[in-house]
Amino acid sequence: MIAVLGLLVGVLLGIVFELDVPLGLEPYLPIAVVAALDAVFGGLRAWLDGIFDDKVFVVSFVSNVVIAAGIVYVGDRLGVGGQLSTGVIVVLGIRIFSNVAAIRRHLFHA
Amino acid sequence: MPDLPPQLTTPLLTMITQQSLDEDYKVAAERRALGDADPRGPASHRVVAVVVLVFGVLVSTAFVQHTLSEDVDNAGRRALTERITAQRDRVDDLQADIAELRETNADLGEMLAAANEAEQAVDGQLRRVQVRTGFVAVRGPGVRIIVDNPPNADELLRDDDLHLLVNGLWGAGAEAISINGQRLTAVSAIRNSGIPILVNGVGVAPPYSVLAVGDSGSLQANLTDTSSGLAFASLVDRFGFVFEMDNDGDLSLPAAPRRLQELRTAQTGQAADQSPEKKEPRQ
Repeated sequence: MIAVLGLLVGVLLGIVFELDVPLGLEPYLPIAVVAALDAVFGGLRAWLDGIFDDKVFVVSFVSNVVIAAGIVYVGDRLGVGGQLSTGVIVVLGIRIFSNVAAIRRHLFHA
Repeated sequence: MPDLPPQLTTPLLTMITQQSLDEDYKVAAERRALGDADPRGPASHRVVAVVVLVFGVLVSTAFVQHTLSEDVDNAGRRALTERITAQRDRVDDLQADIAELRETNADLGEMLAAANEAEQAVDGQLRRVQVRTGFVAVRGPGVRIIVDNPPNADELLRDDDLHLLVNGLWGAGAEAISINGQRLTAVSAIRNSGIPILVNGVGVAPPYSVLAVGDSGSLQANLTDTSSGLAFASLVDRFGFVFEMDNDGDLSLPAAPRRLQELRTAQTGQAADQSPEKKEPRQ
């Protein structure tokens, strides 16, 4: 419950303050968001599985965001940023889809 | 074939799908089931809430940022489209200008050709007038006449005699005449100053060499046909002046002295150009 509340407050804060992302970090924000999405859905599935662990969730969230953004940053430095971010998006997308499918099975027993 | 670990045999996509849930959760759950789980307080829930809050901020910031930059992109695209349209209009205008200027150019070219023709005509006219009035040096065929005082006689050639000769040459069709290198112009004078004869205000001494440029085939014959030429011929007969006339294929006559070419009082232009004040005599 407190987590849902935190999500709502965070979204509101972001909309109200319209934080200005520095130009240098702008390309990495969408990747970070997708990585965070993967961590959040993974946490939700674990919670529904009954094996949620807050420490694991926090670590996976932070490491997902940092590693995803870091990979794209290194790719940009090497000149393959576009390809690497595509790879990251594909892997994270597949994980998100399978996690969401597991969540769906839990919620609708289907 | 040895048994390979599942990480190597499982296809990549299948592995990703199988491991979509972080294995750490299972490991943590197993550890908890073994009983060594540390007691968790409400503080850890708060940490989760903070992380989810950060996630919310991330999502909404990315959303807002993308919307903003999309607006900027669209505005830029719109501005570019407007500029393209404006520049296209300008190109159209300029092309119309080009067509107009081409037409004008063609018209002006025709006018230039006409003006050139007129200029050539005027040039020819000017040249003829300059030759007649002694403004330019000329060369060409003509006659060379030597006249001199009669030997052993008191009679001397006078200005009137030379007048007759020169008038006869003009009447015979001469186009340019010089006497002892003095070119005759419209304002030239031949007159006596005592005994010597002045031409153009410069004294000339006998023998007088009169050069006349004209049709050398007909000039001599025509000279004897004119009344002045006849009168001069009778004077030559009566006083015994020396008179030699020969055709010359290439005569060279100088231009008149510059002082005779200058206009001191008269002004060029047409009478209509002059204002009434200038016409009044000065008192």
